[in-house]
Amino acid sequence: MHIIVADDDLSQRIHLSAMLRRNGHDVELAEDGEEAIEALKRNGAPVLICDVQMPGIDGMELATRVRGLDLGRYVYILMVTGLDQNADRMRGLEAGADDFMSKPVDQAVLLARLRSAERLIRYERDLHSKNLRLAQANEHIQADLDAAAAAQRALLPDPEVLLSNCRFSSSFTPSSSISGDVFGYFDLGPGKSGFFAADVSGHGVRAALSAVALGYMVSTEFFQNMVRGTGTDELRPERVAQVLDRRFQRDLGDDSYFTLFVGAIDEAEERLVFCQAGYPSPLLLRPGDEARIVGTGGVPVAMLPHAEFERSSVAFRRGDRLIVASDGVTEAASQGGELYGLERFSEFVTHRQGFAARAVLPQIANALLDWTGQPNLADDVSIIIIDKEG
Amino acid sequence: MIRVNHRSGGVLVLAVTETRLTAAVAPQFKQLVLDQIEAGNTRLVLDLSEVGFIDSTGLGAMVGILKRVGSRGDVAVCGLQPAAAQMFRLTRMDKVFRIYDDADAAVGALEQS
Repeated sequence: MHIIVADDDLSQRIHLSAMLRRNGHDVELAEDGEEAIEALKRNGAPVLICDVQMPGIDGMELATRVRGLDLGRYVYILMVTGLDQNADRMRGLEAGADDFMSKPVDQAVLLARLRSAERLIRYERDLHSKNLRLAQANEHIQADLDAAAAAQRALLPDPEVLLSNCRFSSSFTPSSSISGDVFGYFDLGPGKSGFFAADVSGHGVRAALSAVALGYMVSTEFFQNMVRGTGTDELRPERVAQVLDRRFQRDLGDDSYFTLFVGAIDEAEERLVFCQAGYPSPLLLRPGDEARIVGTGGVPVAMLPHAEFERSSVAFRRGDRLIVASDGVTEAASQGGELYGLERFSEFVTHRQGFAARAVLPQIANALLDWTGQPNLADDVSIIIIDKEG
Repeated sequence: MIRVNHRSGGVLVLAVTETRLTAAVAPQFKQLVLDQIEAGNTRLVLDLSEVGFIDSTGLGAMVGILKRVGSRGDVAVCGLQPAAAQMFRLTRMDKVFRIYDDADAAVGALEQS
């Protein structure tokens, strides 16, 4: 091993270095504390043997300084005490010494002490390299997750789009870099538009993978084909739920499912036709009125075999606003465990009736953060606001 | 996690002793119940009277239990608190599970079926 010996007494230095060299160690000698510190900085020596009593920086001070250095490695400090005093050893331990020997130094004792130092140093190096590997693995995983998050965001629509006379505004706040939420809105021809919002149960990579698969499947073409069909003016949002249910019944596996809301707006009929598959009920805000709940629920997608999906409808006229929000809104919990809840959310949006959707969306996110008292939300939050303008 | 209580007629009442049945505890909860099913206990009452909140993973675990019992037995749920009851209504699981006010009512119903 590479060992630095710090001692102001020349004969002691010679005695120690001869003993160490005889037993195959590399020795570097330092006359005082300053020299020892310089040597430690310059070379990679893992062991320092130092005398307690030295002029200038003494052994205690030297140990304290070495512990304060950022050397990127552990230095094993073996302190040589003049008198076998417990007080010296106590102070030495506090200063950062690992072990002690008393003068005169006995060769057998010294070699035994160094063997135990060697064990500790080897263990420390192992740990250090394992930590490095873990840090690298963690970096790789984080980079992969960031790439996945970017791919997922690319699936989401522009935050503000006008389709016929309906303005669609949305916000997406994932709880971690990836999320089980996905949504979209689509042109269904003149005077018609549609949207969907889905939330895969669970969190993390698994839910995100399912959400991405779902997002790719519900393309504009798919949505138009399902909801509009051919040769009919009828809007059939429940078809989206039916087809996805059959498609994902087997594939999600292990208790996973997703909640879904599919809506289609017929401006001439002034109606919103929708299918609610376990997704939270949206809020409908009419001019001068309080927000009201739309829909009474429905079986989630891919939860049970042979599920039936229903179609409902509600009037949707000029000036009306529909707010579709994932359960991350109503289920946001305060420090005391109280849920934000639909009632509070309903009041919040009612009070902001005349505000532009793009102003309201960040206010909702802030209100939820205030409610939870946390820097980040515990669940993904997706919100679509649809304003019927013309 | 769960408190097991053997009742007359071979009915097992499993009281969930968590205030939140969420992703953090759902897998373990489900496994404990499945162990009971594998041990031959297929007439189960899940008592949720201590559970204030169920998230989507918790609900998924409940449905997984129901599917596992299948036609071999019966699963009833009791003691739903408001937020949990709302979750069951929203997802129509109130039509899929047999739901009772309390454990006694649930045990009585399972004994007769």
